[in-house]
Amino acid sequence: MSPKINLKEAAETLSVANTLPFLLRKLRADSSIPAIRGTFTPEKMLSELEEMRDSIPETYEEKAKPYVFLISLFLSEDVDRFEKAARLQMPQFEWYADLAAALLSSSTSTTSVTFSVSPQITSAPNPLIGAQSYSTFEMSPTVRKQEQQSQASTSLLILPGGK
Amino acid sequence: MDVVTRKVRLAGAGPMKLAIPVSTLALETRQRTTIENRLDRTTSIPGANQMIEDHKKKFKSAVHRPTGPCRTYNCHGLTFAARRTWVGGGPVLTIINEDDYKEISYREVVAGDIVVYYAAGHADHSGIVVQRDGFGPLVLSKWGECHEVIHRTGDCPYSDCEVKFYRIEK
Repeated sequence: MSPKINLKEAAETLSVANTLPFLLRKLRADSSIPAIRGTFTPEKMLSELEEMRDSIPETYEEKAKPYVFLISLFLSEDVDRFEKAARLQMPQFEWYADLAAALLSSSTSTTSVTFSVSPQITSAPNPLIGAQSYSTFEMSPTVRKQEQQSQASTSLLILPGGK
Repeated sequence: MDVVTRKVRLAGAGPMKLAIPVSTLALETRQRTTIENRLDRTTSIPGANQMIEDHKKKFKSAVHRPTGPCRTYNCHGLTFAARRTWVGGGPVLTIINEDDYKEISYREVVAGDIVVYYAAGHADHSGIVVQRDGFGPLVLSKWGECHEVIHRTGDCPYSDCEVKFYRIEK
């Protein structure tokens, strides 16, 4: 039996949501999110969502449940399971598809590259270059698994000062 | 007309799929830009009326109109489409620009003006000013799937938003 999560606040938010940004903003800050993340593994979150596929909500707590689980799974950064969850067909939960799409579009992939730059240091320093020091652009390479993402951004860390 | 298949439970029967009509109305701004909307006549869940009662207890000083619950229209549908349909937050800025709304200051607000609640640039809520007294404006608005409420500007579930007031003069 799954542990019970307090969905009262999420239920109230859902009942008065006029727009998707409001719903997303409020649910991301909902107290049920850390509770879910502290109680369920990503695998279990996905499993809970799959069980909800055939459920018919009768209260707002029941209606809010897939949304908070979806957001929790998104925040767990388990990309594969989140994408599986996002593909679930749950038309009885009217915001589900749009919420999943909004979360998917808000995630970005990052690719980091390591390289060094050292400008020439001469006996007669060029006033245009400035002080006799150089900056090294360096960062640890990490690649997030986002093959489906169409855009990637390059992050750059600048470490000032001589080395 | 689109058809949405929803799973519903009928009395005495197990869950079954029913085709429920969801349609779109032909809605445009003054400059003939289409306003996306969704007219959803799906019956509200059984717990909706209880949720309205909970809101009445939480917002005691507001006037809770005997309307809803429904997904037929939302706050923007009330403010900009005469309750005909559900209008998302996306079209609101287009409507304000193309329908000749002019932003006015809080001091100028009188009955008939409208108020829009913004958060991070999104129009999360809107309503119509129905009265102004010594305590400020009273706003009529639809609270999501719930009912219509007449309330003070900040006495509602959207009180963390920034409000702006607008008027159409001609």
